[in-house]
Amino acid sequence: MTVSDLLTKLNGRTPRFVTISGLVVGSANVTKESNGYLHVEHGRVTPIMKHTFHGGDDPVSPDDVEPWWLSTPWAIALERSNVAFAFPGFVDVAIAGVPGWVGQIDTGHGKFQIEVLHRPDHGLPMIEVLKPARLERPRGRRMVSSPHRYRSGLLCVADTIDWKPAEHDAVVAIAWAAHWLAAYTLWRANLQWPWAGVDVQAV
Amino acid sequence: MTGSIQDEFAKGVITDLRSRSGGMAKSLRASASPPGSSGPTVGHPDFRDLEAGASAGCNLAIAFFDMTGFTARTFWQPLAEVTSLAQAVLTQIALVVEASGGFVLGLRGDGLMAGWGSRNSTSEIDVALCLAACTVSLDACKEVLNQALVIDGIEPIQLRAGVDWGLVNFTRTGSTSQSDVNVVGHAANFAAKCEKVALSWEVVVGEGAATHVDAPLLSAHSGSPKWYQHGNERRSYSFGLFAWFKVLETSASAIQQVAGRPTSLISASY
Repeated sequence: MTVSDLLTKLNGRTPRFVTISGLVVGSANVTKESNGYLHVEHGRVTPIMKHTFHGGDDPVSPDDVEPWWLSTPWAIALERSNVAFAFPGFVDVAIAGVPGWVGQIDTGHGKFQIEVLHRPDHGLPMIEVLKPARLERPRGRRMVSSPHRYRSGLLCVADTIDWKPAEHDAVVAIAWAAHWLAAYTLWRANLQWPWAGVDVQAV
Repeated sequence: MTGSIQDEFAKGVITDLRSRSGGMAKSLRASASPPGSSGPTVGHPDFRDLEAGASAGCNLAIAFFDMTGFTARTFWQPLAEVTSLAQAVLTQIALVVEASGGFVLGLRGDGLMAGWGSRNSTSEIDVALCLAACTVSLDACKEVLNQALVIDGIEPIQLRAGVDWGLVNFTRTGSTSQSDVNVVGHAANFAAKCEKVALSWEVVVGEGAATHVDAPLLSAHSGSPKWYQHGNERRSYSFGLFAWFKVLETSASAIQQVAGRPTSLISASY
């Protein structure tokens, strides 16, 4: 038994990382280097921070808040560099002045184009799957949508309290999205969401 | 008996006590070296060399270990005897702390303060290994050492621990000729409070550390939560009992795997 077993015993989770292409891997064959984590086969990997998949109503952001990226431009610049390091395939975007990223996650069982956009109040970023257009699979004669999405259809990759704006950035959100999409590809196979979370069927 | 670490712990204490033969000939090996010594000392290695008045911080899992009922022991028993016992037991706890990737931050009488973590470590791992060290130390004393003490005609000991996690500052406090690195922060204070409310063989965990532990391993403490008032604002901070006996095997194995490496060098995530 190992430290990973102890973590699993303490909080019921298994250590996981995401490769630069978006594949979720376990902690076996991962070593910590001075500038991050390295997987023997996949190279640089990003740890998936603690989170639970959720769903339900979209988080409400206050209207009158000054966007955090305007008051701390250095922070968004640092974040862009962090994303470029962890997920070099992602490109910077600005949708109506809102900073974000668009890139591809390859789960090993499917490729997804996602968009990650910040919220003005620095809440949990909004994550949308751009391609494919629908996240669903047939059950009997009808199509069913995947669980763990907000009513808007955005991915609910974590609880709002999982997101710690002082510690986390878009790298964490993209890693959570990769974890979500890995779970989704398994759900597509057998209609069972593979990892624990607050199981709210949103759409 | 649950594992070799616990056996080594008890063996170390008994060997130490027998070699002392009731005297105080040797100093506590795991404690601070005497002034002027170039040997190893307690404290966090990242902050040991702080200048006077300087401070620096990081997130840390902190544990306070304490031998319950030791004050009564010091009242009734010869000083040399209780000193030897404290030295022998705390030495072994210090070795467990070190083996689990932590650092002994201070020693006072029958108590030991230890920390796990640095600026580059992961909080879940820091807390996990802190709890593992508590688990192994309590189990070693309760299930292995006490039997050996009884055989040697020594009254069994009782151990307890308090744990929390959070941001702390290390600051060198004192005069130019006499100073020490002090650990300041709510996590440090609350871990000490947790230790004080723990009964023998209990590990009480503050809210910061408890966020990394699943509910089935925690139970409510009758005194929880602690309320803090600041002006009109009132906030609570909870604490609970950690069911350390449910993670015995994994704790011992994890410590063996870590083998003294700092937690910042251990890779694990979710």
